[in-house]
Amino acid sequence: MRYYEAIFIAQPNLEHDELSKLINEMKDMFEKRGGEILYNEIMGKKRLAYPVQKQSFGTYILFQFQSDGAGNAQLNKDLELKDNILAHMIVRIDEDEIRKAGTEAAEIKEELKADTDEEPAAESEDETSEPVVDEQDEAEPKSDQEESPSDEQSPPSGEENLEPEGKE
Amino acid sequence: MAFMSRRKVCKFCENEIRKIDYKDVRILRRFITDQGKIIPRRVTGACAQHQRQLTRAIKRARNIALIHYTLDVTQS
Repeated sequence: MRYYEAIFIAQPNLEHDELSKLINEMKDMFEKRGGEILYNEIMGKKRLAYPVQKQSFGTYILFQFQSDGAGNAQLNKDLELKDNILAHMIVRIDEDEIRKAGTEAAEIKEELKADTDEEPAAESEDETSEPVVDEQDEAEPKSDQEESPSDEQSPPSGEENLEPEGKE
Repeated sequence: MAFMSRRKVCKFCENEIRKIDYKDVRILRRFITDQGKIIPRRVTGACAQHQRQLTRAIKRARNIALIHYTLDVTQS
């Protein structure tokens, strides 16, 4: 048995009833494909980093489940066809990543956030390669205060096409 | 001396974070540029294990629209 985590982006404009109906349908779907649901959370409505199916908002829903993995391929297909789901992703997780209702490692995260606030900017001072330094200095202060990246001004760069990272 | 080498310690090791979660956008944001590029290890100072996890987390987060692949400057 392995542990998996499925995350979905549901249509943002669903009524409460529709949303819980959708979640129940998905629970059935998981169980039909041999999954046992261990944790479920509605992560809330968020702004998408880029439009998905022409929507710029979406409701994130998280499932953590246990299964032998045999039904996952079929599950993927089912999800692809499901209405009201903009996108989904299933990833494997370890047992210790299973969340329990009500608990969260929030304190540790807060610590890191406080710590990393000024970190890359400080590091970049002794960095000798100029392009990286430039990006660093631009990137840091902004990402500190802003939730949405949409109105950030990126430094002009003519090298976009050279990037090796496509859509993985 | 102009370029004193400074002690770089992996932030994740320091804070004893074993697993980097792709859902934690606020942390991931610190390790990408405005354009959405992953910041290299020589800058972040992350250790090999954590940088690898970080890369994976960032790519997953991109996939599910939590962070952007790239920003079109002309668009916004």
